[in-house]
Amino acid sequence: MSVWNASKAIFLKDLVAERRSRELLLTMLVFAVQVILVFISAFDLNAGAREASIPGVLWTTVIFAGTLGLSRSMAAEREQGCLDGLMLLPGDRTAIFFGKAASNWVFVLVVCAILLPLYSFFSGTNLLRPGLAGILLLGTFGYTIVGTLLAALTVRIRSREMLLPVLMLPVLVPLVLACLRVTTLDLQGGSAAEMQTWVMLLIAYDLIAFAGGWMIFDAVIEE
Amino acid sequence: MENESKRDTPRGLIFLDALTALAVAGALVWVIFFTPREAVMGDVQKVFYFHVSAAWVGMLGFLAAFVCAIQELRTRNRKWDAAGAASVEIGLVFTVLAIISGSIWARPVWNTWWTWEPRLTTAFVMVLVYAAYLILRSSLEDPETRARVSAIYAIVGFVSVPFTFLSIRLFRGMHPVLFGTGSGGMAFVMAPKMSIAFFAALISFTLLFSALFWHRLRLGLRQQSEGAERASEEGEQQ
Amino acid sequence: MIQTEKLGKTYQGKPVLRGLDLIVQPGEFVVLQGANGAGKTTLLRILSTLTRPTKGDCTINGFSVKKQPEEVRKRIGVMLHEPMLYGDLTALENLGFYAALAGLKQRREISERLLDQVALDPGSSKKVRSYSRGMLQRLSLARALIANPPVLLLDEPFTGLDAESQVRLLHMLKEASRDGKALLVTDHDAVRSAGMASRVDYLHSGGIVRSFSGAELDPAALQREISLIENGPEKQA
Repeated sequence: MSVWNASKAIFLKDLVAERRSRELLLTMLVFAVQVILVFISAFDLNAGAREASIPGVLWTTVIFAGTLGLSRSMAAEREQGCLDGLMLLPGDRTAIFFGKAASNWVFVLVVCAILLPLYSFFSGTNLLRPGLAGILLLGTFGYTIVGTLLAALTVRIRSREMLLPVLMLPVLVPLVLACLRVTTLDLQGGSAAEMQTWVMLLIAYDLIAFAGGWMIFDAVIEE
Repeated sequence: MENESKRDTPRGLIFLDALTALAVAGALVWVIFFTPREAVMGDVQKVFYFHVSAAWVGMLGFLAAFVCAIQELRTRNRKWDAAGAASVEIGLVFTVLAIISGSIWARPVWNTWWTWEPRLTTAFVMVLVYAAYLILRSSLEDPETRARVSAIYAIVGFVSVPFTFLSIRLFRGMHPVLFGTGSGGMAFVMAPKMSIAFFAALISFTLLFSALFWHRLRLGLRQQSEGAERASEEGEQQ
Repeated sequence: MIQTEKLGKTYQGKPVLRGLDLIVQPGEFVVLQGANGAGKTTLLRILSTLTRPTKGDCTINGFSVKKQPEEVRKRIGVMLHEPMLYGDLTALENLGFYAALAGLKQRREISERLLDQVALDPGSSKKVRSYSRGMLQRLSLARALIANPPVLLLDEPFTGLDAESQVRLLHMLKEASRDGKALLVTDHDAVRSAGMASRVDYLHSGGIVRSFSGAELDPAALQREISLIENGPEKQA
C-alpha cells in the first residue's frame, strides 16, 4: 500500500534527521526539565500533597514540552521548501499526516522515557509502572494526533508558535482530564471500574481524532 | 456613510427585527411581572429563563457553525464561511451571557460565583474553543485560506464538545457532590406560568439569534463583495 | 502534455492570472518569459497541484489538477525556487527519500545514476546543508527527475548557476525534451534559453500576450521584441 510506504519513508526520514541534529529532542527535554523543576520548587508541599500534584505536574509538562516539538517539527518542513516536496508526493497526502504524527509520537515518548525516571528521583515516588506507561502511550497518542493536525493547519501562519497551544488546549480537555484521573487512580489505587470508563473514553477520543484527522487532512494541508 | 440604496434592508429582516423586539420585550415583561416568585430562591430564580435560553442559543450557534463549516469544505463557496463566522460570533456572545447569568443565579443560591458544574464548565471550554476560532481567523488574511482553516477548526472544536462534557461529568462525579442532584440542586417544579415564561424566553432568544445572525451575515457578505470589487478595480488599473 | 484552459488565480482579492490558455505538447520545450511578479511561479504551483486555481482548470496528460491531483502528481517532476532538500541528509539519502515517496524500487541504483547525471558524487557523505547554490540546483533537478516523469515544470532553474552550469542544464533539458518529455520552464530572461527552446511564451497581465517560435527565437531578435513589449514603442530610440 503506497500510503503505508510513503508514511514509513517520512517517519524514517524524520528519525534520521533528528538523530543527526537532535534539535527537537533537546529543546523539548530541556524545556520539560525546567518546567518540572519550577513546579517542584513552587510546590513546597508535605509528602501527601506532593504526591497528589504528580499527575498534574507530569501531564502539564508533557503537554507544554510536546507543543514545542509539534510546532517545530511541522515548521521545519518549510525550510528549503520541503513542505512543498512532501505535498508533491505522487499519492495520497494523508501519508504526511501518518508519517509526521508517528515521528512526533516517538519524540514525545522519548521525552517521557527520560522524564519519568527524572521526576521519580525528584518526587521520591516510583513512576516507572506499567499502568502509567500505558496511560502515557494512550494519552500521548491522542495528543500527538490532534497536535499534528493543528500544527499542519497552522504551518503557514506567521504566529503559529503562539497560535498552536491556544488552538490545541481547549479541544484537548477531555484527553487531559482522562490522563490526569487515570494517573491518579494508578498511583493512589482506585476503582478499577472507574479506570476502565476513563480508558474507554480515552480510546474513543483517540479513535475519533485519528479517523477525523485521516478524513480531513487533505483539506488541512492544502495551500 | 455609504450609499444605502443598493443595500436596503430586505423587508423580511425588518419584519424579523420588529418581531424580535416585540418577543423579547414581551418575554421580559412576562418574566418580571407575571411569573410567580419561586419559593426557595426568590426573584433571582427568574434569571433562569434567560440563562437557559442564552445557553440554548449558544449551542445553536455552534451547531450552525459546524454545519456551515462542512458546507464550506464541500462547496468552497465563501458564503458558508460568512455564515459560519456569524454563527460563532453570536453563539459566543450568547454563551458568555449564559455563563454570566448562571453566575448571577449561582451567587445567592450557592454563595459562590463559580462552580465546576459540568454544563457550566463545558460552556466555558466552548467559549475558549470559539475564542480560539476567532483568533485564528484574525491571523489569516487570504479569504480563501481563512475560510478553509476556520471551517476545519470549527469542525474540530464542535466534535470535541461532547467529549468535553462527558469527561467533565465523569471527573466531577468522582468528587463529593456539593449540591445534591445532577442539576446542582437547582431543580424546582415549574408551575404553568413558569412554563410560559420559559418558552417565551426561549422563542424570543431564538428570534434574537436569527435577527442578529441575518444582520451579521449581510455585513460579512457585503465585506466579501466589497473586497472583491476593490481588488478587481486595482487589477484593471495594472 | 500540459494544457490550461481559461486559468485564473486570485490572491487576497487581487487577480494574478486571468484567462490563461497554454499548451505544451510532449517533446516541446517551452520557456515562459515574464517579469518578476507576473505570475510564473503561481502558474507552476497550480500545475503542480500545490495551489488551487480560482477559475478554469488545467490538465496534465489529460488528468485535471482539480479533480485528479494525485494522478497529476504521478506524472510531473517539479523544480521550484526552493530546492526541497533536507539539510541534515546526504544527497543520496535525499534522493532515496524522494524515491521512497514515489514508491520506486531499486532506489539506490536510481539515485546513484541520477547523481552521476547531474555531476554530483553519490558516495559523498557531506550533508546537503553544506552544498553551494549550484550543487543544490543540480540535486533539486535530480529530485525532479527521480520518477522519470513525462512532464517537467521548472521555475527559474538557472538562478544561481554559473555560465557553464547553465549551459550544462540547458543541454540536459533539451535532452529531456528529445526523450519526449513536455517541458515548461519559467525564466525572467528567456533569451538565454531561446536557442534550445521550441517556443517562448510571454506572460503579462495574467495571460500569454505573445508567443515566439522558429526564426523569432534568434536571441537578438527575441531580445528586441521583449524590450518592445516591456518598455513600449515610445521608449525605443
